[in-house]
Amino acid sequence: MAKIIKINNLSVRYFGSSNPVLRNVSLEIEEGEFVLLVGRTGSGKSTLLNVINGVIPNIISASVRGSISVADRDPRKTPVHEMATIVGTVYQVPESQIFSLIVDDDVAFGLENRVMDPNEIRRRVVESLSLVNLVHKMRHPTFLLSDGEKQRLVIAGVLAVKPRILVLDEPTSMLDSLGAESIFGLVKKLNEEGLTIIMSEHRVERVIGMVDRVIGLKDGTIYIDDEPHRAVAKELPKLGIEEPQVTTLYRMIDKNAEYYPISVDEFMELGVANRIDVVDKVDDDVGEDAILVSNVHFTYPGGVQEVLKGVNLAIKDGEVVSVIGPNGSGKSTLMYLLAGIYKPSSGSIKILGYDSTRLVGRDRARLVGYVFQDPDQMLLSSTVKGELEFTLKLAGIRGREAEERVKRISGYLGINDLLGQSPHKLSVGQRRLVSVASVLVAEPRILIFDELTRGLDNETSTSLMDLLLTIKEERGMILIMVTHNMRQVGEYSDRVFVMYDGNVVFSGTPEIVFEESHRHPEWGISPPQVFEVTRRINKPTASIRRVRVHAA
Amino acid sequence: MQPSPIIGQVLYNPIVNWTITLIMLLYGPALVIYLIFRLIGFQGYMSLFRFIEGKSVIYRLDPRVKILLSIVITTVAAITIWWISAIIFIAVMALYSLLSNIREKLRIAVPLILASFIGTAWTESMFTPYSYLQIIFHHVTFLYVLPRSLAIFGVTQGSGSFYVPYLGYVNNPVGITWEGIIYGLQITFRAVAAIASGLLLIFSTPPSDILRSLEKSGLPIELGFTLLLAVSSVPKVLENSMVVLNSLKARGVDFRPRSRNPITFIRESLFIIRVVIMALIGIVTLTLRDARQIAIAADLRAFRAFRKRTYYKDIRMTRMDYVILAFLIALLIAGIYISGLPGMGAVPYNP
Repeated sequence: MAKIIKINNLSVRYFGSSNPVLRNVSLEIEEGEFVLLVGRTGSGKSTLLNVINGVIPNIISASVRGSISVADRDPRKTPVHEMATIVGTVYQVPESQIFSLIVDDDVAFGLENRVMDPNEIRRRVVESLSLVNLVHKMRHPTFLLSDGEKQRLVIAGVLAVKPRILVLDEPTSMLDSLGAESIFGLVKKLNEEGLTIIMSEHRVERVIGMVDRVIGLKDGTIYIDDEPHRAVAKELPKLGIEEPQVTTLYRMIDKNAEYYPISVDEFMELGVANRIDVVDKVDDDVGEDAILVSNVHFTYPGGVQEVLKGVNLAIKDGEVVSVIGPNGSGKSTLMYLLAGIYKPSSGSIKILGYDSTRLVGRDRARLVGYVFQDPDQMLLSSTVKGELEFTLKLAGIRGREAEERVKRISGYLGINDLLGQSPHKLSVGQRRLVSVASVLVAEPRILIFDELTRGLDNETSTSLMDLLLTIKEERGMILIMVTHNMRQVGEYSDRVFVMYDGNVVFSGTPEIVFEESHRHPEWGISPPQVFEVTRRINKPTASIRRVRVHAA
Repeated sequence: MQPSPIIGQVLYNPIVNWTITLIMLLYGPALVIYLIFRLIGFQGYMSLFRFIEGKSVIYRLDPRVKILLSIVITTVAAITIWWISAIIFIAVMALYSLLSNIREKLRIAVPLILASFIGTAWTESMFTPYSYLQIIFHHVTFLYVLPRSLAIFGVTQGSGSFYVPYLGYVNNPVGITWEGIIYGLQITFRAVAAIASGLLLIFSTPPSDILRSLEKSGLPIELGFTLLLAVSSVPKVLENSMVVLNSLKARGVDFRPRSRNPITFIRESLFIIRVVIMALIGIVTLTLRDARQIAIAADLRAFRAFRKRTYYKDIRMTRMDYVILAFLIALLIAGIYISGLPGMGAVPYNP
């Protein structure tokens, strides 16, 4: 196959920064290849992708040295819109790549700009929308699409100019698992039809099985460049990246292999599953029912559609529970009600003995803490310290006590050095920590977090979760997490509630829920690999920390 | 008629007088906000931008003709006597029957129209200058007198001595006038005719078609794109606003002062105002955060890479469009002619 991308000795440095983001990177990519690009936040993945499509240096200024050839052109010397007919680009946030209110208008946007013949535009709009399976929503308003559909629309807009290469920069980090699955399936299909794909992605376990090659970046240099089974031999977690759990399991058995399994089937074929033991879960002391939701119905003010349709659930003191299910199933709404932001249309919610509808601001803050999905939705003060003090003021905590709490919580989360800084100038991971601190400082008895680790790399999210569990153990809290990350669900939760169509349709330990999920594809749950492996040997566990290996 | 001393004393007791004044001053804006937020709500706003296709003639008209329709109706309503505006308003409302999914459309249109009706009636009836009312009606009757200090806000103030029920003769009174109310109601028909025809355009035309047709008629593409982005970002901004307000509620903000102690009440209210400003900053930050990404995505899709653009949809005038166009021109000429007839112009009323 011909090389479609040739990069030699590439170094990139942003203006105003002393350190280069990419250093002496050399690589060649064949036409039709599917490349997975991995690395922790800030390792240079986005920079590399933006050099390939010419956005750097044509739109984002930077000094770019070395030679780059993409389909025999130098992206630096080609106008970006012309490069876009060779390299299609898909970024993280679908909304910032959609320009029209109606689906087909948006696909047509780029073609109209390119002065294409209207008949040809109409043909390509239909063609691209059928590729991404959105033809039936052609006249649909764009903002009413689900996140996964929005991202598919973005891809349709990109495909409409018939590029030869598709680069995707963390295309699923804003999507739920069903949305992400639809994107992965689509990308794989496009690759099979001959499109060259370069994708950066945090969900390594999910995608590594469909790629030809893994390129891992570390501090701006290429650290891994290999076929997937050999690539994982270099211990992705050391790069701050998730590795497939079967790879971790096999490493427990053989530390020095050159070739590791990446899928459950491959692991089972190696015939080592009999060396796996699972230790029993140590049951924490869980107390009485602390949260009682009885027959709760809810319709948003001014809305017509009932969002919650008779939810019942009970959570015990000291428990860690996960609430999972597809987007739109009512998870966030239920959390809003638990936090006392809205009142149920009917039914009742008791929080540690209090009626949730009777709670006023101060009691709410002291009883229930709520960490929102996006830190920027919560950080409104000009300094980190101000952010923490704002919560304390609302919770009615002043003076020495307030000062001590700021010190204590910022110490816990390791943000002492950031107290004087503006939250908006911090990195994604730091902003996340500050948003958690701004809730924890009120020392709530219940902590709700919505997609806490979305958009964070594996290393940052694992350490944040471990930290929260430690704080929970020390202070005695109830943790409720809303998440699509099934590895986290399996690793950390005592109990899982599955929401579907406005109701809790199933609940149980992670193992019971994962087992049941095989019968319910509509839930959009793909259990973690460790569960799939251990269930086949009749020792099902959802947590890799409970797995032990004995000698052959 | 002699003023009844008891009713007068009650009505003009300072506390009662100020209470009535505050209600008078606040009911207009409060009712408008209430109607817009309670009856339409977040969902309603979203559906303002949810264009639903239809087959009737109104959907098939060229967007430019529909834009012209709103302009002509607004103009004619503005220059002719109030009852002509009222007839035009009713005619526009009759056109709503051509819309598909009429119930949902009315659920949004009625509160918006009602809100502008109340808003306009309120401002015009309380704030029309005395000299204006004097020219139009030749005689001004004060119904109720408000504290004099309100004159600085522009509440109607008579010059001379006026008889006020239950109070007797007052020099240079500030307050509510009978003529002001009549005038307010009359002028309101102009506002609602304009609003109703504007909503008709939005309901029957996809926003991108409105922009395409404006661009075709010479609107600079940059301006069109900015408008398009502004319109498309409304749903996201609304969603962001809801989430930010919810995040503040979760942290313990009550957006309603609770204290019965007046000083604490004021302090709580001031705090809420501060929090709302914080929230606004947060919403703006969230909205602008992706601006750079949007710019990059637009460049990648060849925005402004070429001088011209082609159009995905044919926007062409049909015979029906020309018929309506001719009718609109006739309506405009008739409107201008009628407004020149004695007593038929908008202002001054009955010269």
